[in-house]
Amino acid sequence: MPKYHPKIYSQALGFLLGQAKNPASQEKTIDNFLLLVKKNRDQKCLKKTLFFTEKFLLKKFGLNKFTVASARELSVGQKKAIGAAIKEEGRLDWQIEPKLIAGLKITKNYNQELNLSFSHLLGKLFN
Amino acid sequence: MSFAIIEKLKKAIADYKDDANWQEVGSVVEVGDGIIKVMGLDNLMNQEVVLVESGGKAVLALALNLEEDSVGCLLLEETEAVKAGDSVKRTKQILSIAVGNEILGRVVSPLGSPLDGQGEIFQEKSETVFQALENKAPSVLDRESVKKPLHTGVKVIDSMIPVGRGQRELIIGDRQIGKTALAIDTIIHQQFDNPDNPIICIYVAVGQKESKIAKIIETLRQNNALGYSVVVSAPASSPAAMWYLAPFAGAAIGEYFRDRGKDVLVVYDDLTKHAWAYRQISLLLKRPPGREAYPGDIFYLHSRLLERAAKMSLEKGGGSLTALPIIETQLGDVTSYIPTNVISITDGQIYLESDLFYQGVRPALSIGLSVSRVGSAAQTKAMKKVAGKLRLLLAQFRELQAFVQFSSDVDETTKKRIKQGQTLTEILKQNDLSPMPFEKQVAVLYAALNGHFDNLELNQVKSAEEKLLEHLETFSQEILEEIKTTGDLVESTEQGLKKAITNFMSKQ
Repeated sequence: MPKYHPKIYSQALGFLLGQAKNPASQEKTIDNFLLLVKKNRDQKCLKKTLFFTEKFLLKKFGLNKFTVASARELSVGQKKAIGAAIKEEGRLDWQIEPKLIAGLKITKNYNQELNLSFSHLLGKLFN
Repeated sequence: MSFAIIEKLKKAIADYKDDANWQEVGSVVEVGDGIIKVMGLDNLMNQEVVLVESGGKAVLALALNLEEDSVGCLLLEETEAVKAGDSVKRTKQILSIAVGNEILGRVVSPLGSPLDGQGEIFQEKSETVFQALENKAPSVLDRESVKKPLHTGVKVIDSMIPVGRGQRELIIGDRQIGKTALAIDTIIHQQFDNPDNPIICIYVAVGQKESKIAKIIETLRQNNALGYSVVVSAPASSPAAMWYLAPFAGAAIGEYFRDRGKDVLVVYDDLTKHAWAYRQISLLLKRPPGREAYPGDIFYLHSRLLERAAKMSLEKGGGSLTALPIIETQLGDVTSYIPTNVISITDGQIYLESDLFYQGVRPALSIGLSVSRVGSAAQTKAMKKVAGKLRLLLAQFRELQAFVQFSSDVDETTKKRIKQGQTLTEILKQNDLSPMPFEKQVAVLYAALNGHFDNLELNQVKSAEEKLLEHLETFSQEILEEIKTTGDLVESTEQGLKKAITNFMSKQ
């Protein structure tokens, strides 16, 4: 059993990062946080903590995170065009999923999905 | 052949309309023992169906545990392909089953898929309704009191523990004691009670051996009862999710017909296994265990199921849903957790005792411990008249029986009472798969209670009963018809019956 739930770690970390004034103090906050987690022997929770922290910060600053998955590596021009089409502010992450066959799958904030892939189209046609 | 396939493909592509929209998704973080934990899907509803995209296939799951940062879901189909990382999508629909008239005569799974190898249940043009498995019970104002009898065809039940349409009557006893046999006899009897419009019967098999379910289906088919019945099957080899959902599926099918003004009978065989399945699912979902490791809401599981049995008011169609839940006890212990829960929910119980069974009294009904809370309100006038003093006579006989064991010297009156009690016990014995119409029951009980069989030896009583019924069918059919149509035993009919019985007995 972890000493603290990953959500509690994430809320604390998210709050402090939100208050940090510059990148140097952010780095120091993160270093101290990692020391604390090591002291509590809760390293196993780090992955979940990172996930919750990201969600917490995105919500706090009203940002959206988009993950764009494609079947093949996209060119710089294609990435620029996709970024321009997604008109909202936020980070864009790029993933390669060959099982999409073609097209794109866009995930917003890990809980909403727009599936424009060829494999999805085939599934809808024949199921 | 290949051109036909190509043309089909072209048509499918041409007719396809893409409506790409944002969809809510989550991902599987844990999977095991038929349970998955999903992260994301913050707006999921309780009991909503979700689709797990696993290996190119969509697997159904049911959201049961809505936690702060994850959702515990119960997998409803094969679980081997599902793995951590699979995406999960909402359907925004509560779990429901397709119901229509075509479902009669079929064997289905709790999700509505056919299991009898007779192809799809519903054609494209069929009128089907999707009935939610979890549904609210009818309110007080939508109901009326239980007055119409549901004849089981079993003498001891119809005379002393009468069941009405819309009632819940529990059948409780140890294993291999005749609980399912009583339920099957009741189902078979409905075709004789009202041949033009028999009560629709739904038999829900929870956690039973497939061989036993197959035997029950064959019995119903051979006795021409399958045509107005539906069997919902969740055999022992199916996952706990199916055991959990089967009674709700049976209730949902019953509600479809009830809400259309029909009378329905649902047999839940048995709710003990249903409770075990719910306990298993709750423990896997890490819900806190209570008494005997059952979850805290085990009472609510059965109460919300059984409260759906009702007699609807005329404004709501006048239909009814009668429930016959079955509970298996261990060594006759009715005071344990699940039996006491269900006894407190139902409107009476039919308690089957092992001792009686091994003494040869079958059905092995304990008249002292069995009760129907609806009582004679759900009996025809004829049966009320005839069987009114039956329970009292048998209670007196039981007391005297105990007395006689200690003293062999008894007076004539006591000897007579004992003989009468023994005769009545013989009369109330009935073979399985031999339900008797209520008018014949009235005739037989009238003869027994008015001393017409008193001069017979005990081993002659059964054959005398059979011969009496043959005689009445041959020479006094109009008396039986009169009782059947009016439901009453008026003075003239009674005189005619008495004359016919006296005539018959004088020739014995």
